[in-house]
Amino acid sequence: MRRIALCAAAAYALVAVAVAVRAEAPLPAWMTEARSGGEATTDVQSRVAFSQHVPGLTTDELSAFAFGNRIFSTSWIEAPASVEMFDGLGPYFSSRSCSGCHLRDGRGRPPEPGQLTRSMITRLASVDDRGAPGPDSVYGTQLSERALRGLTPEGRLAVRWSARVHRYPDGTRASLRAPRFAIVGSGYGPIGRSTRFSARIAPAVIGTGLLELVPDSTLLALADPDDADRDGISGRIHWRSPPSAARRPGRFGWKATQGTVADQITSALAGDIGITTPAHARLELSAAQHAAAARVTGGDPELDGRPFASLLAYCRMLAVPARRDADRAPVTRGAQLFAELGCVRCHAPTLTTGDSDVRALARQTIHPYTDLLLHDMGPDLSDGMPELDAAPAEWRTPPLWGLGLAARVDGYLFLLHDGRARSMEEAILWHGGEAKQSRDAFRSLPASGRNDLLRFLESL
Amino acid sequence: MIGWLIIPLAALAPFVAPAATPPARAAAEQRVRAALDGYAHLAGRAYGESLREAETLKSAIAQMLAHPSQRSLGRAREAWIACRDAYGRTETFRFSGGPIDDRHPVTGIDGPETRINSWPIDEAFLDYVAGSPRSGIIGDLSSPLTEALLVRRNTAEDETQVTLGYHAIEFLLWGQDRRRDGPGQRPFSDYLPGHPVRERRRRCLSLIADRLVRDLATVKVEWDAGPRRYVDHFRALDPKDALGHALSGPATLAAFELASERIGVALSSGSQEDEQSCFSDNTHRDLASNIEGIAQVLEGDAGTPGLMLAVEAIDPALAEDARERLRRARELVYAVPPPFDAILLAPEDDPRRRTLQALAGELLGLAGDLQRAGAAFGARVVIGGGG
Repeated sequence: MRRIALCAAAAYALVAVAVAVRAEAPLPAWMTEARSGGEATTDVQSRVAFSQHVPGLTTDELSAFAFGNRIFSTSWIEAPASVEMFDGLGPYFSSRSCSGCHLRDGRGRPPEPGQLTRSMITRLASVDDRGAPGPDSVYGTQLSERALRGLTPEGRLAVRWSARVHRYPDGTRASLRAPRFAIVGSGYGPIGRSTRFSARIAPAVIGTGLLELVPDSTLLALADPDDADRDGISGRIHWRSPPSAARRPGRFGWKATQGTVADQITSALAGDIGITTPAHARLELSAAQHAAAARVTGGDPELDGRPFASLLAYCRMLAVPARRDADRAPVTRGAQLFAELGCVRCHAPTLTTGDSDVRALARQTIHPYTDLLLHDMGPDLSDGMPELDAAPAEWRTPPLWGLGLAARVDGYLFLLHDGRARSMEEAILWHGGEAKQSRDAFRSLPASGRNDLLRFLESL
Repeated sequence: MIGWLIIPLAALAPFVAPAATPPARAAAEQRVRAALDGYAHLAGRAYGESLREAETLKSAIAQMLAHPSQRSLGRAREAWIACRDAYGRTETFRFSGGPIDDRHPVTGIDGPETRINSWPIDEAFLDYVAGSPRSGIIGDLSSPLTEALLVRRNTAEDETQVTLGYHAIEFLLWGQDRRRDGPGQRPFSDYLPGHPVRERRRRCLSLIADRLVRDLATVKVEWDAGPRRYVDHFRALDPKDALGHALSGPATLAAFELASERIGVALSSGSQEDEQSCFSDNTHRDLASNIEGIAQVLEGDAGTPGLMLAVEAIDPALAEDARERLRRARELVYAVPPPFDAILLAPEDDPRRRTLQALAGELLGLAGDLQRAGAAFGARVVIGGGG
């Protein structure tokens, strides 16, 4: 512990020196680069900063983006309805629209006490004797808090927060809050004894089209599943094997369970809104939910063809906002600390995309601050639930681009998978497991260094 | 008006093709400068008109609330339509870095656009709808109705939860449009005093009208009247950047807002929800006033030059193409017969749909011309949109 503190102090001293002599040693490009998404960067910095399309779209792409935007914000209604294109909600659902959780394409939040969740979902997994996850026999893999009129919702997530005080080595205090989640009012009998659950807020949608294009070989090169380089960090790919495709790395979702933007969308449409698509043609309903199974559907499937293609195009073509103050001194000092403390070993600053039909997405040098790999984040962040091949304490490194605009877009800031962190500082302090050494190095920085690092994150 | 005179001529040099002869270059520089000056003038004037019309709307609403009748409600509706025309002509100044939708470059405050013109609107979030006689903020008597509440709730949790602006007023004046051949039929009796829900509706309409006037006044002041007026910032920009901003507005309005979002999406979905002014059936006029705004900023008027002066100076052929597209777009937009929602529900081969598609095509072409014109100047013309 003391060794790390010394290292951090030494690192800070080095950075201070490095800043002083910056004229001689140029900073790595990502530290001062404002265009985080390369050509796929938008200059819009307002409340709609996450809702912009990448520049240079063709007429057809622009029209797909606009129609996809329309579908993203569509409030789905119960079938049958006069507007046939947009009926088929439920029977069970968490939200009526994509934008209901990803408001202005941004993040979700945990519920206020006593309220239904609005932009957060609850995943379920029944764990067998060997610890392998599967669906709960009644509730499946997700708990829906809402249901069509006449049906009983599956249950409700309740959260209680308990305060924790974090004390920095220099005596400064920070207050954290730890959640305790419970499922209440389960509508179809008690949740299985061996069923675990995990509450997750909606992540921001920006930049997914770019992350999808990072070659598998890049991820393979970043991965170090056995920590062969003994740096204490052992990121691994969450391999996915969709029924009709070769195995590929998971990239999206808190546990990297989805390999492509299309997989992510089809799974969210089905799980969160109850909308079927060609790739996800059947909803998960158990025998206990026979009344729901008898409800009219909004088509078979409910979303396909041009509307689905447009929704996909929309999500892929959402631009990444440009950074602010990227070349200002406190921000560049923070960027250097971000590197020195080893944050960059998971939050990879620079990746390159492969080919794409969309000009602005193809062959871009991007700065997403993620390696898309699973990392053990320690017991404090473990949700106790394995998901596919991801262990309870393993989480995919979330991208950090756009982080500094999140509060402006969303009107609030809640970070980490369950939204427990109310600031970037709190989010850092929750880091454990493979990230513990970097977290401790952050703790040991002088206050000015910690502020510089936060200024850097604010600039993203 | 004298702002541009301080720009050194050298700053304009990159605008002009290197092959241009010195006298031609000087003439082009002159015209770019005049075009940017004209732009600033037109923006200030258009925002002034939209403010004046909103004040007229506010007083028509006050009169209607003082004496609710079919006649006074009709007057308020007429004032709303006039007000829409004036505001529609200002939308060409959006997407240009000005103090309307973006963060103000000086004050850092987000523009008021979402409080002025948000749509589509989930009517049931605001007032009663067919099947829910007591829904919405108006029907729910549990908390006092204040301007702060309306501001706080506006698009806070869902983009369709609109509590402010033109379309909230439109819904409160016309009510839901449940007929194919005409607008909504809200009765004036909705505004008779003496019942708690009606009193709340009266208060709501009045508060929204007040706020609209105040927000439009803020835009006007921030553009060219206040101490931190945007026009000073605009004039201090590198002319290349100023021109990029100025052309981005009409280009984005034409290609994204109009061609893609308001026409393309509406034709694709066939849903009345995608009709912008769906309660009043005023969408055809919304389109026309937006296009008139584009025409005004490009062509100028009454002695004020438009941006086309700059385009012409660099590439006469491009200017010619843009003019032709603009001419056809104006022709087509007046050939769209109301009501707009009837067109959305019409079969695929309906000639009215083809008119709208042709209009969208001209608008996309026009935006492409503006983008190319910008590129010829070395200016970045961004076709933004979304959100």
